[in-house]
Amino acid sequence: MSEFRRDVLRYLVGAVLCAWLTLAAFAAIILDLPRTDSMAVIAVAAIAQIVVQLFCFLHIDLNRRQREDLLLILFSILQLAIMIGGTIWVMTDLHSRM
Amino acid sequence: MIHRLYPGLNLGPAHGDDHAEAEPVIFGFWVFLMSDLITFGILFATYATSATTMGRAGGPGPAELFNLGSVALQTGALLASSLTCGLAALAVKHRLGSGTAVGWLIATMLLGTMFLGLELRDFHQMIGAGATPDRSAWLSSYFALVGLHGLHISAGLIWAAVMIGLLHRQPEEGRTKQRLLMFGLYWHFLDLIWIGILSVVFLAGLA
Repeated sequence: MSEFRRDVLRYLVGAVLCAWLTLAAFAAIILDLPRTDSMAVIAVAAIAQIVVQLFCFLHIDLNRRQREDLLLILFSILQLAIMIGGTIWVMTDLHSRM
Repeated sequence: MIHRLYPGLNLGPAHGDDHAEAEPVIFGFWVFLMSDLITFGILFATYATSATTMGRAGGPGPAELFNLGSVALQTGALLASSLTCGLAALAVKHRLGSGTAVGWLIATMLLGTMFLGLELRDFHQMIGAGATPDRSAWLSSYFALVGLHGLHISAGLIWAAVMIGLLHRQPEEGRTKQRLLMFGLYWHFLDLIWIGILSVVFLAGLA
């Protein structure tokens, strides 16, 4: 397969997978599943879709040549996790004390 | 895969010096994208802490305000535009001619405009129903988060228009190719943020 076909296929596969994952998340709402079940479906579909898009559209992988770039992304995600997790933790704690 | 120098679509060795010269530029753009991610992340945290009964302050909530059909159309438009924007970058990488790339960019702009139009219509209906940003903490954080994403999309539409002009005037310039790669990263990044908004704001709000 030529490089061009491989490149196009990567985008097409990504788009089709994302469309299905989006449908799965919407289906959880339309089928009116119990709240905990639909939240689980939405969370799994969202994380799967982010991984698919990072790989197919943004071309991020575990390739050794771009470890520095991967470090930048992973460090940003760590910062986000601390800030979002910390905010939600502190605020729910305050809420439960009110 | 041996010739990959930077995260994102690579021009490849067929583009000579343009390929190597793109590396620091694309890396710098990733630094910008990651700092933008932190901005969005903080707005997500603000949203999560105010999406409560208390945060709604007795005002209207997601069930009365959100239009699931419109949100589905917006999601579809944005995903399709992410694909067309990727195809525009591939047209430049594989030298299919600047006309092909411009065609895909026009498709991207049309889909992006459709997304923005639907989003503005939803904002208009919400405000008409009395759900203004000053009504409750939940609505303030909603308009801040979703509105900032909409502003990014608007900026992206302007950028796409500039790219069409550049591809028309100087399609073989290294700078043009670098800017198209950056535009691609920016647009795909906005679709990633939208997945978060769709899941955290709309779907979780209606679950």
